[in-house]
Amino acid sequence: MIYNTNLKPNFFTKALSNVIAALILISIVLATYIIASHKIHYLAELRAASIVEAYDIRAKRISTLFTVVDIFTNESETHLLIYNYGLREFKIAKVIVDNNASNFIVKYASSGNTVDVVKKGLYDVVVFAVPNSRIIIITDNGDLYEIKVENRS
Amino acid sequence: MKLRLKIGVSNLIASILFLVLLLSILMFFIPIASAQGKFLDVGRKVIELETLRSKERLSAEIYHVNNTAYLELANIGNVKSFADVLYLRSINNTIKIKELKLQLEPGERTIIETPELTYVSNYSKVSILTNYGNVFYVIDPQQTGGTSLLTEFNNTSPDNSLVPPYTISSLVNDVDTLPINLWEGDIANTKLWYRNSVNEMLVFVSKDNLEYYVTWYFPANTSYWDNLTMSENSFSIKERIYEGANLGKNQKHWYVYLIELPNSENVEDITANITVAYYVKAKTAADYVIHEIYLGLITENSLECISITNTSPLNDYNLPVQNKELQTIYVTKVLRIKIGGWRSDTRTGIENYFVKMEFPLKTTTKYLAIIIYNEFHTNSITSVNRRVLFAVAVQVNEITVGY
Repeated sequence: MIYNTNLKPNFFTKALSNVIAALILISIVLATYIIASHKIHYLAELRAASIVEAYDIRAKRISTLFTVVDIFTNESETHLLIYNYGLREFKIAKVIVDNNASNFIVKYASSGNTVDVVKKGLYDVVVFAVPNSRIIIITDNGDLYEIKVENRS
Repeated sequence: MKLRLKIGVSNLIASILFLVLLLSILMFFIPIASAQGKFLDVGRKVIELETLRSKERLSAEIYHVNNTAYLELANIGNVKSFADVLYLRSINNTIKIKELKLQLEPGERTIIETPELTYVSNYSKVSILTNYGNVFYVIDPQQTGGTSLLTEFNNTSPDNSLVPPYTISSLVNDVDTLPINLWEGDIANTKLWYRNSVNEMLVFVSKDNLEYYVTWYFPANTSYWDNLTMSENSFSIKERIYEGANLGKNQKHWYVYLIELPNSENVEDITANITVAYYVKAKTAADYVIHEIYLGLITENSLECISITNTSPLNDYNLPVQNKELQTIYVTKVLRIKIGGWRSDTRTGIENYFVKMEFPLKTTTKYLAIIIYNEFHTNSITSVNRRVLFAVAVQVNEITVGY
């Protein structure tokens, strides 16, 4: 009986077709991507969001523009007149007189109505304290404006 | 066929890998690029806004007609201006706001009836606020009496302060002084005082040409005269005339320095002892210049009457005012200097004057006016920029009020 000694099992004698090899490779890539995508997306979004937020904060900061028109005291109150000419409206989050947080209200100067948001125009910030050295205004986006005062009485 | 398929599959793999990579990159960068674009857009708008803000210039003037005040606003800058509100703070620290909502093109002026300004002395601060956030002072906050607070804030623009008119410290005892610029023709042009807070220099700026200027000095700047010194009770004016600025070949400018008399009721005569130093220089050979100084007494408190005339005070005893009672002003000519035409020349000197001004009847006078009149004519056909320099320094030695 003669055997063909060169005959090998079929699996080893013929390579995978290119199509199958490609499909396998694509499957591996996609599978890897799907498995890793959650982590990649999470990290990418985290990174992107922090950069976007930084740009947004800076954009808000540079577009908040106001002028101090006048400042004077009336008994135990200090009136700080500010004119918002910036590109955005903002809120005053906190007013610090000297080194203490003070109560305050914001009035639209033309009408005298109390408001929360400083839009374009003239506003009277009535602070229920009298400063000796400075008033600090902290806006809603965390910016801090220091106004040094000198009593000329 | 096999070869093509082989190549095709490799391309497919590469394409898919590329797309996956591209999508990942885009998903990361698109929001960042968007935020960056938004930031740059905001930055551009802010820069534009601040540029316009820095170029905005307004002049303000208050007129009183029949007990009603009128505010004249002029845009003397080169950008469109939006006057938003008039802010008034009374001496009792109460606030009044008048909405103006005025849009002024460059060179445009407008007059608004403002009853709030009828009694200006009731206010310690009057400002015009514009949409660009500029604060133009109509009344100098530095004059505020009583308790007030000085602000020091990086967003304010003190350089934009307009202070017409500006009262300096007392000249003789309790006498207050008040300088006024007057300009022939459109008198409103003269009403811009630009205060340099560093050395208290008052600069007059014409609306037609910012190069033309008059400078007031307190005390007098005596640099044009050798070995001359003047005391604190003095002032000086330096005026340069630029013919090339389309101001014309015939110009007449006059300036008034007012000294408020401390006790002005039932006055019979007033004697002024003043020292006057003059310096007139005609630059070119085709010029003819006249420099004159007068003393006058103004019996009414309404200074506006002197500021709305458009005629020069050439004639003695006839200083024209729109108040029809000419007797309200008593003028004595004290100095007249001419430089004739067709030659370049300089005239300078120092004179002492003892001028007695008598009233036929006892009257109430409020101010002693030192009036400086400068006239310039030229026949030159060539355009020479700086033509004439006038300088005058006046020291008030003594003012005696007789009853």
